[in-house]
Amino acid sequence: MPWLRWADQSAVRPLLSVTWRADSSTGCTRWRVSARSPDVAIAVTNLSKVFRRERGEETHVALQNLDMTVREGEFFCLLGPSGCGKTTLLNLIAGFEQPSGGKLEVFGKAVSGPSPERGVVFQTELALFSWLTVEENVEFGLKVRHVPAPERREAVQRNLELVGLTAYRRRFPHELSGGMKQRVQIARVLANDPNVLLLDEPFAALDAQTRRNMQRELEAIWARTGKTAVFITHDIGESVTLGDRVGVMTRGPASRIKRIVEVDMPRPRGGAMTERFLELYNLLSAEIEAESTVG
Amino acid sequence: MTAWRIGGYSALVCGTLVLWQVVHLIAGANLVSGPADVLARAVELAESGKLQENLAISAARLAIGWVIGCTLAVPLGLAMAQIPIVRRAVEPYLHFFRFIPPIAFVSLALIWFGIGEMSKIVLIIYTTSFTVTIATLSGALSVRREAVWAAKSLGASATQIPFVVIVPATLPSIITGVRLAMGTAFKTIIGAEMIGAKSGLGFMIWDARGFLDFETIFVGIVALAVMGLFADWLLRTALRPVSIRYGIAV
Repeated sequence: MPWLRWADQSAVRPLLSVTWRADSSTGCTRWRVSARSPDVAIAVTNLSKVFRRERGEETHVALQNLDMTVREGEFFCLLGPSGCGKTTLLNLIAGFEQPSGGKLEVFGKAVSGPSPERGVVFQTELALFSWLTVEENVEFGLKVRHVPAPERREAVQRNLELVGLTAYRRRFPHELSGGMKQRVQIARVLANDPNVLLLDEPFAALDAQTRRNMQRELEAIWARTGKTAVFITHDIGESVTLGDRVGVMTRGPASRIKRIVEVDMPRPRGGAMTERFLELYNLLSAEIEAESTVG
Repeated sequence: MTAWRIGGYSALVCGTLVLWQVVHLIAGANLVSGPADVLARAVELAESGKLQENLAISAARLAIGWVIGCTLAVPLGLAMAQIPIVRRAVEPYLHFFRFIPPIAFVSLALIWFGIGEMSKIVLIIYTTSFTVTIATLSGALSVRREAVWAAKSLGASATQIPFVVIVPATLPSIITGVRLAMGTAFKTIIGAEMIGAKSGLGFMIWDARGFLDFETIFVGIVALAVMGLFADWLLRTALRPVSIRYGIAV
């Protein structure tokens, strides 16, 4: 969701649009600048997800009474102890799985299945297509949607540049480092120009230094593209570094979001240890700790 | 590098021949024919055209049966992995017949499909399709759901998924399957030719037994190995572009 974009270019209305027309009586160009308030990007109400075991009556309640609102253009982090159902929530938003109850809307439309409007970056690099080169992976979404070749080439070029992988375009995923593979995933999703980015612990498997670099780059990419992002993590520092808001989930089963913390720090943040960072870190840390000692 | 490899292979071949000669000298010509005698017999058989004729007919049976078997088995394996009802219907048969070696069916095949080429080719199809079906099925079942989800969320439709994800992701398993099937097809064709044919390498080997013609048996055995090596080399060469793409060793 761009902050500024020419009015006629995007399917989704820009937040700030500039239109113009030639005034024949005066011979001048008349400009009009209009702004609107951000929409709600993702609205989750009273959501629940129950898994049934293959045999027998046994069930597992993963999510219950979950409410969440993500604003347009926002970077929303979902923080929670492992096994709390973060990935389940993301899979529901992505449309991979169907909710057992409640309402789930993205830009006013009920989610009925996966859609290129919602791009997903997976934790596992196995989500990449190992038989395709870097550029073929990035091109994949455009190709299956029958986007014409010149447009595809342009989008591949632009997004490879964005993630800094132009030199590796003809490599295969197995020839890349862990960080590079996640960049391919990001570029592959951005090539589709989705409304929403869903990221499921994309940097969890990376070493600390690479993770910091990737966080910095993701922040820059997000700022440049202005997409709405939902980012799952169990890393408190990561959530404070990246999020506009951090939603803390309760321990499973029957998880919900128990608290939302506003991260009021200027951008770009780049993960610097400011006083405010530490305050927020400790606050979230206490919230998470409370969850892991329950029961 | 290449010079080293050629040298290495030559040394290996020479070593084997020397070992063979030693065993021949210890055991005696009545038990183990010497390499020189076998070579002489091979030349003799080649001059009469018998060797080429039998080799060609075995190779043709193998190639036809193997290609048909693979062509049937790959779609079957993929369908089993994708459509639960197909899997439930086919899998019991698969596991029942899997343990029955094709040799057990030779007599029946001769009655059902005649003494001509059909019976041998059917047996090759039979033996090939089990290996390839099981390899394809297990490969297709282990396709990561994240890869399928990724494709869906990138815009691939339900009808595109098999072609853009399932088949390409299963290809390494299919390659392993067809290579293994080539080996089982060799075993089958020799057995079938020994019992139910009047031509082919298997027949040649079996027929020589009656005359205590050990040299011809050895010629047949070596010819089989050479044919197998050649078939595998051909397959590997044909699959080289695929193997590079997948980063797998074949």
